[in-house]
Amino acid sequence: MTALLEVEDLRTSFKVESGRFQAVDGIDLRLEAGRTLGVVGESGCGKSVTALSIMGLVASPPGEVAAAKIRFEGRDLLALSADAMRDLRGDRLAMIFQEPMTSLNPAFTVGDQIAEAIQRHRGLDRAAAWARAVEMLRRVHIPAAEARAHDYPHKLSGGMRQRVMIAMALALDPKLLIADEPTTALDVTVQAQILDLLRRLRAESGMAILIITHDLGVIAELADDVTVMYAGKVVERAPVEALFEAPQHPYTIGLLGSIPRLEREQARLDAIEGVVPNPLSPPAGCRFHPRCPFAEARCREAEPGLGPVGPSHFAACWRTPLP
Amino acid sequence: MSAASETALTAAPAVDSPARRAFKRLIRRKGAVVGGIVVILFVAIALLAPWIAPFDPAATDWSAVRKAPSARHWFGTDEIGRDVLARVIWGARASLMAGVISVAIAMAIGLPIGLLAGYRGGFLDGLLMRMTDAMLACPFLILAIALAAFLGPSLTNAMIAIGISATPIFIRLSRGQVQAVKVEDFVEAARAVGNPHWRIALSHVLPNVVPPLMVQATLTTAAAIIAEASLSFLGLGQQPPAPSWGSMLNVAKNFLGQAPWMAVWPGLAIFLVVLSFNLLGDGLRDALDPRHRD
Repeated sequence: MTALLEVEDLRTSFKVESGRFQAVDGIDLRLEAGRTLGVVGESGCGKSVTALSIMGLVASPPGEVAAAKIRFEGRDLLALSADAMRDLRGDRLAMIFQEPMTSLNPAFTVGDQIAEAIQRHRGLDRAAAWARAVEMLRRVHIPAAEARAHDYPHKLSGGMRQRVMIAMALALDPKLLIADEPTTALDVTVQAQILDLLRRLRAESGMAILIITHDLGVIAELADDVTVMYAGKVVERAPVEALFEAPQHPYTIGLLGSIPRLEREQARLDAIEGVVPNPLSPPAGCRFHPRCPFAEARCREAEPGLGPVGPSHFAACWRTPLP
Repeated sequence: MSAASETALTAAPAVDSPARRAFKRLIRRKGAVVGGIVVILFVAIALLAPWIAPFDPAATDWSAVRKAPSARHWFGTDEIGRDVLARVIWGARASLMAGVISVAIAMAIGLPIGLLAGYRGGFLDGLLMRMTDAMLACPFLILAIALAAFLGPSLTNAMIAIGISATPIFIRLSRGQVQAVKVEDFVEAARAVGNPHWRIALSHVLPNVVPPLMVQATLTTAAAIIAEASLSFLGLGQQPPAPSWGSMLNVAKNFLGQAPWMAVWPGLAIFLVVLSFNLLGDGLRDALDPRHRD
């Protein structure tokens, strides 16, 4: 089966004063139609840049996107013209962002903003686009959608605004939705509602979702497969059950360990010691070794490749598979 | 949400646009309201000049030269017997026209350049900004006087000169605002739904840079009115016998001892209009300030 989205050896870098900042350093992703892939990692590990690279939204200069392959529905996105890419964005390929509070234009009503995207891609007249916008607001369970469409963003709460963003992204029935930390800025109860909504919409439309988050809880709720990123590289890739049951990479183990649990009495949360390495001068060998509790001599010298550790389960660590 | 509250929400028409909210904040400010009323009053006077002026502003009356204010001539008469009130009323036309038209010229040139420079960035931005800096290096009034002298004395040329002199401020301001707005998340979101650049610049960035430009336009109108009066005072603006506050002051300065009313009324008119535009501008600035959201 050919994948809906195939990314091979994606390298995105930014020119900064002191050199080249390699935000994404050779990652592979594969996502089949209707599936959900979670990309998880700390702030600054390159997960958002990965999303922007796929969308073609990395500003150049200073950014530079290179890859062996970025194929979406069989088309090479890197070879597409700017115009063709714009036609694809918002239509077959949609994205929602982390900050619903600032992702809507304060100068227009939410109905206008959804209708604009519809008109842009479908060439519908204003009334038809507006009707579709209201229908979308209803689909994302915004009460009194008819009236809310006439509201300016400032009147809506964060959760409502994220629903509007989702309505806008899904208005054209995209095949792939890229969700960049869609719940991070929201209250926990609202987070649950938004995840629930995404799950329902996925079932209704059959779209694939690429969800980017630092929250393993979100991954557990939504993803089929998981890719764990650290300092611009993939360190582990697994089906979601395998990742939670038998995490292989010490970083993944650390991430799982830092989730608070109700059944465990704990004064302090377990944290991964240290900070994300400076991407301008990443450590030699395995990038995680300065923070890794299991680091050995060889970890400091050579970088481990992504190797199989189980069925569809890969990890980039010298010590895996764990006994 | 209960059914009842939902109906209530549906029933309330959504008209709470950002412009309307700003207007509500504006009318809560006393200074701005007073300024606005005086501005409107002067605009009405200028528009209705032919009907409300008691005399022809250019008609001389040798039997009433430099007469003090009286029941017949409320503001007195000037050195060749023209009615000062009529001239102040007609002078409002020259002053307000100069203020509004020169600011319109400055906006019409400055906003597109600022939008282009701020949105595109890079070399073009650098080039345009160095040119703007060069213009800003000359004081506003000096530049206007030089341009007006170069173009030749007339009210039209004075307006062009003032407009061009005020342009760099608008380029600078709109460029800065565009730079701030173009990195907002909603601009990224607009790109993510496939909008082309021209559309993002015009329909997503532009509406969000208008508020500070409105404030600047109001304050610059006040400066432009003073500039017009200065140019007319120097003989570079409105040409006699057509009335203008600046040229009235120029003549009046010769008779300050004998006929102070010739200077007082046009001076007062300039003072009032400029003060009002400034009050209105300050009020607008507060009302449109994003930190004062309510």
